[in-house]
Formats: sequence, structure tokens, C-alpha cells
Amino acid sequence: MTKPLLASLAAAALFALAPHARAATLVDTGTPDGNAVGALAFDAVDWVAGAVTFTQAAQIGAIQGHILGGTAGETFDVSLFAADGGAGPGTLLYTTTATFGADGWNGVSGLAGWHVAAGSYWIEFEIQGDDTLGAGSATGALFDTGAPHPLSMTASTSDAGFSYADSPLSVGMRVSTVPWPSSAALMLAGLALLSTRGFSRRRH
Amino acid sequence: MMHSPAKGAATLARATLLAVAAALASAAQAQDTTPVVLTFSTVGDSRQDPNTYDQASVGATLSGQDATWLQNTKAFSRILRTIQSQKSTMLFFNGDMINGYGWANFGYTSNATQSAISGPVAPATTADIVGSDLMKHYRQYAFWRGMVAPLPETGTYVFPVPGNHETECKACPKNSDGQKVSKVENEQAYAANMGDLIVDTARFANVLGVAPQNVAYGPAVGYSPDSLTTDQSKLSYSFDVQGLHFAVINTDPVGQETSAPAAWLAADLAAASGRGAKRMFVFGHKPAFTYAYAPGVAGSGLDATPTTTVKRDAFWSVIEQYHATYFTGHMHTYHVSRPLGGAYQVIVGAGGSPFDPTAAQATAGVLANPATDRDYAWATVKVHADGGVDILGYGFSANFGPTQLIGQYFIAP
Repeated sequence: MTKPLLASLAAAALFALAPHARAATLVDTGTPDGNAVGALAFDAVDWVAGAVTFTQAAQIGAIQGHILGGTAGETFDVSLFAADGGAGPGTLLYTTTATFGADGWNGVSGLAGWHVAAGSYWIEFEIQGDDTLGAGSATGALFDTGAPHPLSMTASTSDAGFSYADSPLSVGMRVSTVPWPSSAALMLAGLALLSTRGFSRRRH
Repeated sequence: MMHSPAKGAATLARATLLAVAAALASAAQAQDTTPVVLTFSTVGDSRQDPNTYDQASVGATLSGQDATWLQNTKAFSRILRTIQSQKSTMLFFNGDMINGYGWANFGYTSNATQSAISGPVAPATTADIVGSDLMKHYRQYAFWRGMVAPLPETGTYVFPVPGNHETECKACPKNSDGQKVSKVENEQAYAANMGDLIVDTARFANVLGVAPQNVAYGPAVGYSPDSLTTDQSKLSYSFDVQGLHFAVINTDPVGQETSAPAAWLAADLAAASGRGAKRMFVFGHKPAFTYAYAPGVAGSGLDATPTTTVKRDAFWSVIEQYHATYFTGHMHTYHVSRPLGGAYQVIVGAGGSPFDPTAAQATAGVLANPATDRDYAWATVKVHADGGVDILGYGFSANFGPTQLIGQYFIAP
């Protein structure tokens, strides 16, 4: 097998692998139990937030919560807060609207520009005035509980706004980074190999 | 922030028990995929007690506000907010909206513990007037009305149900069956403070977009099939909406305390059945069947005495005959049951009043349903197009934890 052919095959392989590069998982509570009874009400009054810590700067690519009782296409909000608010979420850093798919993990992915420095933050799930989540189901939307690795600190509306942080709620939450560093590296490697192949052809 | 290990253990126990409840409930659940045509909520007993408030929940002392107006403002306002967010079109409040328990007659005043009452004495000073039972009843009604006033403005019509704290006099001599007696002046005070809601058809139509049909009022003086002697037109009433029938009953009428107007209700439900009502829902203050949340709980509902139990049986046979669902309060807890295996009784008397299941009983581990017995709770009911009914219990713990779905029951079409 010639060197140019090998280079072409390697480039093709790298291109093929690039889209499958995985984002780094920063937070994963595991999947809750899926039982509606015992799950938290998730409506215009009741929101849920969890404290997360990032050990290094990151670009948040996806945030998900394990949610039941929605109808496909209904919306809710996902936000990232600084942890400068005392016992709960502080300054709002980023917020966006998510669309419910089916019972299970729901949230946002493909986020762009959600850069964070190393430190502590709060991720928060909320139903705002324009959101529709839960309107089409009997139970209303519910935030599933029973996650095997709950966050160490959570907050919900219950007592006095953000200040509530009773025993951590076993809600399901996941956060991952944008997968661009690995993708870009692979892409660049592939381009480099293609360039090498072209250079080699010109030499021959 | 530090977390208490004890609280963590309690939360774990609560989660475990709810998970067990979920597993048990799932077998009885069904998924009704037809559209929801009507959503309503029901709760009762938001009044605070000036002497025996639940310190484990609300603290060692009442706030000045709650000590004055005798509401559990924190719990009840939160329940109301969530009911609004659940877009319930009606709220049935199952009685004991005020502490009351006096004699709202001219010149009567109960003492601080309501163990004695004096009068009639014509008031001689402003303090005499302000401290009178009549004044206290009216003042407490006004505060409660203020709390629920926003609901119709956001799409929820409020229907009141009379409770024993509205109708009965605690310090007055008891009847021959050992029951506290209701006073006609208390019924009149209730009518004066709640009557505009029973039933304001124009306002109802404005809130719901449809007018109530076949509105019927309880019997006037001298016309009661249940041998009642006072005007019940603002204490028991019924109506239809969207092919569903709703009936409110007074379970403590003057002279027939701790009993439901079974004959009036039987005629009312028969008429609704004749009109083809798809579902019937009945709301009264006292449970037909006392929930034994711990060993040794005495009957406090319509089964309080052998005499009242005979009348209770007549009432419940009406409920069963028409496959109605009975929503009630009085017991300050949450419990859903099918007492005789047929019709449901839904106790949602946990709107803020001191819990009947005590913190000490919870600590001792003797509660029948420790995950929910001391929850502030209400029911939101969804009626589907095919007649299927979802009864959803929502609640939050005595220490004001997050709101949870605590029970889910389905009545098949």
C-alpha cells in the first residue's frame, strides 16, 4: 500500500470519526427512578436548581434534566447562574429555551458561547410565562427524583425563593461541554494529512 | 451550606416511602389519552389555631399576622399559587377557612381558649365590640377572602364549603349526642361573608367562559327533607358545568350537627343523573369515614358517634349509588381511600391548619402513611372527555420542602 493511499485512508477515517467526538461530561447524577408519584412539581411556581463545580474553564454545550409529564414540543427554560447569591443561584449568566421531547432526559444541546471559568455555578430549570411545559398532561410536568448520585446542593421554590437548600434533592441533571476541542483537533489532523497527500502528489 | 444528617435521613425515608407508594399506585393507574375538559382543585382547613398551632412546622411562635388573622398564610398562599399555576378553573374550599368557633351573635364573647363564653352583654366599649365573637368571625372571614381574591382574576372561581369552625360554637353547651352545636347566627355570618360566591353565575361565566347550569340551593326554612330548621340556601348548593355535577353540602347544620343532608343530596343527585350528568363530585367538611392515621384515632367525621354513623351510612349509600366522589376536609391531613371498595373519599384538610398527625407521632414511627400524613396537601382533579378522572394529590412537607406529586388515582370512564 502506497504512502498517498495510506494518507487518504487516514484522512477519511479522521473525517469519519470527527463528528463522533464526545463532549466531556461535567455533571451526571445518573438516571432517576421514573416514578411520577414522589417526583417534584415543575410548573410556573416550582423551579429546580442544582449547584455544580467546574474544575477548569469550560464551554458548556448541553444541560439536561430528567423530566416527566410533558408533551413533545412544550417548552421550558434552562439557565446558568453564578454562585454569588449566597445559599442559591446568584447572577444570571446564560439562559435559553428548551423543548421537551419525551419522558426522560430533556434540555438543551449545541449551546454556543456559554463560556465559564473554573468555579461554582448553579444550573436551573424553570417554566417562565411564555413556556408551555406540562400544559398538555394530566399530572403537569414533574422533575424526576431518585437519581443515584444526587448533587450535593440543590434549590427549589418552596420556602423563600432561592434560599431553600434542604437535604439535597435527588433530581436528575447532566451537564457536558461543547465537543469542539476534540472535533477540531481531528479535523485539523485530517486536513494536515490531506495536505501531505497533495504535497506528495505534486512531488511525484 | 451544611446539611443536617437527620434531615437527610428523613428525606431518604420520605423518598423511599413515596417510591413504594408509586409502585403500589401504578398497578391501579391508567392513562387516559382523551383531552382534559375540566380541571379543578380542592383543599380545606387553612385556619390557624391561636393555642395549639403546630410548632414543629410553623415555629415556636406565630407571626403577628397569623396570630391576629388566624391563617397559616405561608402554607395556604403557597397552595393557592400552585393551584393558580395548575390552571384550575375552580377551587372548592372544604371548610374551616376561619378559626371561628364562637357565637357570632350580638354581645357574645368567648375567652382566649374558647373554653367559656359570656353574654349576651351589650358592648359598652370599643374593646367589647372588637373582642366579640361576631367581630372575630367577620374579621377572619375578611382576611381569608382577601387571600383567595386573586384567584378569580387569574381564572379560578372559588366555591366555599361550610365547616364546623364556621358554624359551631365551641364553648356553648353540647347536644345530647355530645356534639358541639351550630348556631343560626354563625350560619348567617357565613352566608353574609360567602354568599356572593354562591353562585354568582355571571362571574362564574366570566371566569370559566361558560355559565353554570341547573344551579340549585339548599332548602329554605321549613322545606328541608332532612328536617333542618334553618335556611340552608347558602350552605348547601349544586350546579352543573360541562355535563359534570358538583354539589356542596353543610355537614354541621343547626340541630343536625355532624350529619350530611342525605335526603336533599339524594334528590339533587337523582336530578343530575336524570339530566345525564357524566360525573358527580360532592364536597363537604367532615369525612364520612375517619382516617386512622395512627393507633387509637377516635372517629371525628360523620362516624363520630353511633347516632351520626347511622346517618353517615344513609349519606354514603347516596354517594355510592351515584358513583360520586366525596372530597372533604376537617382532618388535617391527606388521605385517599375507597372506604367500601366503590366510591372514593378524598381527605384534603391539610391546607394549613395544625396537623392532626403530630410531630411526636411521626418521630415515634406510628403514622400509617409517614411520607404524606404531615404534608400540606391538596387535590387537583382532571376530568377527561370520555369521563375518566385523574385525582392528583400534591403536597409539601411540614418543613416546607418542595412540592411533590404525592398521589395519583384514576377513575375509569
